[in-house]
Amino acid sequence: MIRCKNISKIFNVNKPNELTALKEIDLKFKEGELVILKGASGSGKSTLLSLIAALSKPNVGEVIIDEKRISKMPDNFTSLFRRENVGFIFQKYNLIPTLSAYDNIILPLIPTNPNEKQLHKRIDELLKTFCIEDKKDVLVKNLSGGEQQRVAISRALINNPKIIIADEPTANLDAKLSLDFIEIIKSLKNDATTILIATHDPLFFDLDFVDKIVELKNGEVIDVSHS
Amino acid sequence: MYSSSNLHEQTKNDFVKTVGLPDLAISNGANFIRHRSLSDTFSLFSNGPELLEYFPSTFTYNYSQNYKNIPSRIELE
Amino acid sequence: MKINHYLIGFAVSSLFRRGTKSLFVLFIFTALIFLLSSILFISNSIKEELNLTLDSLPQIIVQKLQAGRQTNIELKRVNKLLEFQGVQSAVPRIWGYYYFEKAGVNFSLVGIDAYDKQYKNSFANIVKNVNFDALEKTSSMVVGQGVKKALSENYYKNYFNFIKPDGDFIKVPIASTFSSKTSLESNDIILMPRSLVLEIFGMDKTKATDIVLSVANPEEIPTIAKKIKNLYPDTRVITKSDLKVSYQNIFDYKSGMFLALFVISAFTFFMIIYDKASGLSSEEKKEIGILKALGWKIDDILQEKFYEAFIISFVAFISAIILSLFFVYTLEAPILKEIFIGYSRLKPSFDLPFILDVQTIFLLFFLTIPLYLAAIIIPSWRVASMDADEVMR
Repeated sequence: MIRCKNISKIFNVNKPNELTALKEIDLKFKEGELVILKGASGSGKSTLLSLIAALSKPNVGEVIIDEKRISKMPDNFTSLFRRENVGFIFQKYNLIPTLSAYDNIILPLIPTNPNEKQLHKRIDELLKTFCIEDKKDVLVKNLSGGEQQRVAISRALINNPKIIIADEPTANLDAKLSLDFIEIIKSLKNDATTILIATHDPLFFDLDFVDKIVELKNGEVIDVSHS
Repeated sequence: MYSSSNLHEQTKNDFVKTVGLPDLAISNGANFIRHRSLSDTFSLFSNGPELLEYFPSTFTYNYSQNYKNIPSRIELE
Repeated sequence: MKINHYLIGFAVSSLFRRGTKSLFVLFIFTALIFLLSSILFISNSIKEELNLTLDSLPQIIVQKLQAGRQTNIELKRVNKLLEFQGVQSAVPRIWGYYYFEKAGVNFSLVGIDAYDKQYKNSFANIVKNVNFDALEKTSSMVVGQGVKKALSENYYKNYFNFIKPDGDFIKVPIASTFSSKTSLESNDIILMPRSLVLEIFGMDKTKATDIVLSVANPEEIPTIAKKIKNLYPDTRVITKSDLKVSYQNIFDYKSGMFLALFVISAFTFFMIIYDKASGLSSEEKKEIGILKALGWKIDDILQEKFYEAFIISFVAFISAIILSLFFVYTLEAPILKEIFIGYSRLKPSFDLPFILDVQTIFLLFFLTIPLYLAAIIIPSWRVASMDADEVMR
């Protein structure tokens, strides 16, 4: 269960360019829920996601996941938390362009010194699922946008996360690839994974398996609808 | 290159014993820098009283600094 | 702890991914260590060479000073010196420098008491193709390799005409040369009977250059030295331990050239380090941010950076040491040896004794590698301890 308790995020505190990105957000998501965060760019979606993934810390309030007050935890614990529980699909994928697809996918597991056999098995599964087996050893910078995204998704899934967070996942994809992505999300949803997706792609808004749509505007929640 | 084998060492020692002079033949640009351990502080001045030591090897290669041979402490204003 | 070979693999691939930068660092690092270690190896070998023969030097040398300069000492003092308790022998020596104008070279002329039996054994060892009987009969000389070369370049193949102080020539045949093994010691030496040296220098027959004493009990050397000084206040008494002090001062890299070289190269090194330390490229920063977002702890990131920096600096260090060993001991340090040989026109072969100077290697290791590691790890740590979100931006 994810609980955002009255959180505010302010950038550049006490500077002339001070910016309130999130204002007193109070949200609750249940385990296995698929939540869509909706809103124009600059509405605070990405900031909220990075607070939930503990990539940054709120100025006010706290984020509690499974009774862990992750926004109060020291850096090394949040890293460990992310490694074990979170798969993050970034808007610009944040792949390392000079590494191969394979090397990018194993990145989250490197510090855990994984067992080679299990790792290979897991990666082969993922590569197969996302049809990028033949791109395994290609440098990411030489892959197309769709292929890069599938590498990013594979990387997010390698640690079998309980929570998947995706930030504008279809922003760089054409209609066909977007539909493919939705299929992937659907199958993940069936595995009881908690999924948070920030998007302004209307494709997501009337899917029948979405549990909750949260609408943000200027850093505030203006609407929460259950389907 | 040689590893200091006994025979090699013996040859060198025989030579030094015969000649009885210290130091290596790597600095022989002037008479006051060869056998520096035996030369005295002022021998440089036989070249000219205002001379400073100017041989590259003299920057690295010192004469005996025993108590009878300490360079002058007289300093110029 | 099990070694995480994935992390090491990632570190190696990171080095390759930043190929140009890694190569540059590798090159600078190798060049610096190479230069420093070559110089230190040479100076250590020379010290070793000197220490090797230290024991064969005379125990006490008595010189006479006049007007602050060394002058010849009266032969009659020899008997006085022999009267000291504990003095085994006192031998007057004739030696000095002969300037060969054509080649602009100083030879060291050393006189010995004719070629008699006492030298027979050692001559077999130190002189090439020695014919001792022939040496005994004629007043000839044995010369160092460098002297031989300088003379033959000036058409003196078999003999040399020394010019006496009165302008007369004195023709001395070259009997043989010293063994090339002794080149570092013998290169500029000419050995001949003392009567010839006296003639060439035009010295007074009642005088010698200095007097060499041997003492039965080495413990007594300082006492005897003091007594000689009291008896003849105009003398300078040089004991073997004084020579030792002098040797210890040799190539004292606190002074002159070495300091300059060391400071310059160290300075360059620090500049490079500073340049690296003053910031990571935005690409590198972003990479750290990504790794952190993917669940790498700060320790993991620093560990990876440590591997990266250690691999590159260690490879550079080892290859520099191997290169400089090869350069100094196999190639005989071309160019660099000029610093040590300097102006000298008679260049000896730079055949140095090989010693693997572990102390120097450790010194260089601890002077350079930890600095480099710090220069890599500190900025990485700064970035890694920021919020991942902020770094990736």
